[in-house]
Amino acid sequence: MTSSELTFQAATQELESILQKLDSDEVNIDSLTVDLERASELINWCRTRLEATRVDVERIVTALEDD
Amino acid sequence: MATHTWSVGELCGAIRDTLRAVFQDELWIEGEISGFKPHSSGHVYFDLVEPDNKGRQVDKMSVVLWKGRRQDIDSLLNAAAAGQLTDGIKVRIRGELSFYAPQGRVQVQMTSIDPHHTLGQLAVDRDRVLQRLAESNLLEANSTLPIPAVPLHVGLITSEGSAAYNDFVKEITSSAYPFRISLAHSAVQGSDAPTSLADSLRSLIDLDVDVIAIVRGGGARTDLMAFDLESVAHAVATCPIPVLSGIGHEIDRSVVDEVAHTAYKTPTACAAAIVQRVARFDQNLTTVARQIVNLASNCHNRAADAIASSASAINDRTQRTIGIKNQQLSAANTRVRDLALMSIERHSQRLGRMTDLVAALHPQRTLARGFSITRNDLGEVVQGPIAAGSKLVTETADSLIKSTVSASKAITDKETQ
Repeated sequence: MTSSELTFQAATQELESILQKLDSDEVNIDSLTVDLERASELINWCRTRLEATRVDVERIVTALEDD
Repeated sequence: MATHTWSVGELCGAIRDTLRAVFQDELWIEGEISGFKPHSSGHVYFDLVEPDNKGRQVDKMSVVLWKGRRQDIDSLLNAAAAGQLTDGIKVRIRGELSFYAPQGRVQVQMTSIDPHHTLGQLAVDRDRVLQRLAESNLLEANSTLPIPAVPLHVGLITSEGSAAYNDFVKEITSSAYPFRISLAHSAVQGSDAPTSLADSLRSLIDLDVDVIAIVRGGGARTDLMAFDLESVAHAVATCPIPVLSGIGHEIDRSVVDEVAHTAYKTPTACAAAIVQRVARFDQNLTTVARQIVNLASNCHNRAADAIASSASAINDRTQRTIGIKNQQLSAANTRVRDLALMSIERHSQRLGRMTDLVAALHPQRTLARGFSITRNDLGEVVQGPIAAGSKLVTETADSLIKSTVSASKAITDKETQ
């Protein structure tokens, strides 16, 4: 799944599932690094997305108040 | 027994002598003029009659007024405003009684007249006529008839071409209104006047005019005698159309004036009153029209005010509603923003927690606490007992240690505790 097709909900769900996997006994050291890199990538994507959403909200609300 | 035979001449002479002996001086005689006949010679002939109580002439005396005396008589009559000698008037005359042999008759040669007697007799007759009209309830009969508001069809009774006629017609036609005058020519003095006046009234009644005007110029009482006659007054009083009189007077009112709907002093005044009535209606119409315009204008203004007021109220309410909705929208807007930001914040916090977890799970953190990862020569992580002699590589936080296995065994649950 590429970033352009990703949704915030899907991203957080994937992040949750990675965390669950890492938190369980079945953690595989070999795939651990791959999982961590994916988690890190998802976290950065979500942060960017949240910041963009906050900017959008402020812009939209300010435009409504100015009307 | 008379035996003497008179010749006509003797007899005429004896009668003349006897008359002269008995009526030595001039005498006064009263009676009613009849058969008034001015002669081309300037002399005037008439009879003095005395009707009985039924109006029949029973006694009669011939009168002659010589041309030479006539001017004196006219002067006396004019001085007293008693009019002129004419049929029907009652007179008291002075004269000499004589016998006129060529016609074999007794006659009075008139020398003077008592004009006040004539006037007095007219007044007496007038009063008598008025009395009889009052007894028949006719004095007010015509005046109770309503005059139309716009009497444009005027019936006119007068002598055509007279000054009265001209005055009346001039006054009517100089007005701005489309009057129609139906003239009924009538003699207004003399023996024909009574019948003529009554006939004229009847003809105008047939024409169904709006109002009838009887007009005549000024004259002496005897000139206006026809207007004091009961027959004429009766015709006016019983006329079904309002009759206005405009008879010029020098002294008092005629009987026709008394029974007419309204009496005016002159023909001009009579015509002016008719014009005035139409003018008043015209003015009333103008006034009413103006009132209607004003009322309509007021009505329109009130409606316009009401509409403006409603529009203002609607505008006020709309503005108020818009204001309220704006406030609500603004509040909603703020709330949307707050909720959105709160949602972002929640996601942000959750993301933070997950970031911390990810960081906490990194193997480097475990190695830093003193743990190590041991792999076989295939690079696989060693998790259970392994054969002696196997080559191992152990990774710590800061080193890689190579070793060879001397012995290995599984750890029981008791041992791990």
